Amino acid sequence: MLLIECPYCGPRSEEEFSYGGEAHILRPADPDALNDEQWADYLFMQGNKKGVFYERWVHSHGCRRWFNVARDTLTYEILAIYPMGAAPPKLDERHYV
Amino acid sequence: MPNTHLRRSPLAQLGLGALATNARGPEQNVALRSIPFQTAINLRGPAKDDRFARAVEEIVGTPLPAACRALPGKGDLRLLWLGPDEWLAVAPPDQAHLIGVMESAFGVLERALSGQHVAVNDVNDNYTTIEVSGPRSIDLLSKGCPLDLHPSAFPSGSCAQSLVAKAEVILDRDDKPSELRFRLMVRPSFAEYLWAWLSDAGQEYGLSVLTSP
Ligand SMILES: [Zn+2]
Repeated sequence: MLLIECPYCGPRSEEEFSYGGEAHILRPADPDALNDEQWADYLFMQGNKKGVFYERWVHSHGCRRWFNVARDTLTYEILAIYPMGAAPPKLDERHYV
Repeated sequence: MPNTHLRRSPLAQLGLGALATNARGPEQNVALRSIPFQTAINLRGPAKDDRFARAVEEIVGTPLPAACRALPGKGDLRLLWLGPDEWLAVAPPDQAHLIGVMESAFGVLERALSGQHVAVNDVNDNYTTIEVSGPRSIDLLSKGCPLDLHPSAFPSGSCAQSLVAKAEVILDRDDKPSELRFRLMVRPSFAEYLWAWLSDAGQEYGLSVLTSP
């Protein structure tokens, strides 16, 4: 079980949170201009990286606020927590075989 | 105003009156009490705006509480922090006039804070309250709650939204002078389940049911 630091409530059990997928995927400015393949790519395709991954979480059973997390998907180590709308922090890449 | 002669506690079907005693016995280290129909008003607004903070203080009689804290206000009102722009004012039953007072005060405020979001909502019927008290309350709640309820992390005056036995609750620790006391605000549809879970989990500590205040 992860201990996640909600930016508003402090450290809480993972049980109180829900995962929101990859962060920083921009909604296309003009969805009507996209073909089905491009739209499906926006809706469904997310990274599946081994290493530092930028993702969204929501404190769904707590204060119900969203925030971003940078997490190592191999070690589960949480490297940074930052607000929605903020630029991701510059973190060293981690290379795994 | 709620229609008080027709309303029914979400725990009415348990017949708690027949089980209840006025006090906890010497072998009983945890007690449950149902407190239905509490007044509950949800407030939203910009905490950082002084005009908003001052207006709330004037109406409810307490400054906005810090994160994860609750403060006593006018009368028996308590103001609970729920989020960075969200609070819950809780008061004893049948103080519906509070909502009218708040709505008119916030109507004035909303016009003054033009362009900012301010909201006041009556959420009385969204919750019912179960009080857990007695020296083993923390042991009982910790069986089903992921919060660190140790007094060093969650002293009296703390509040949090979390889970107890997977049911969403607002926990408000508000000790009496010599007694641990938690109030759990839960959705009416989860109340019977949560009561049953607490009753079962509390057996080993000696459980009593107290009459409504
Ligand atoms: Zn939170």
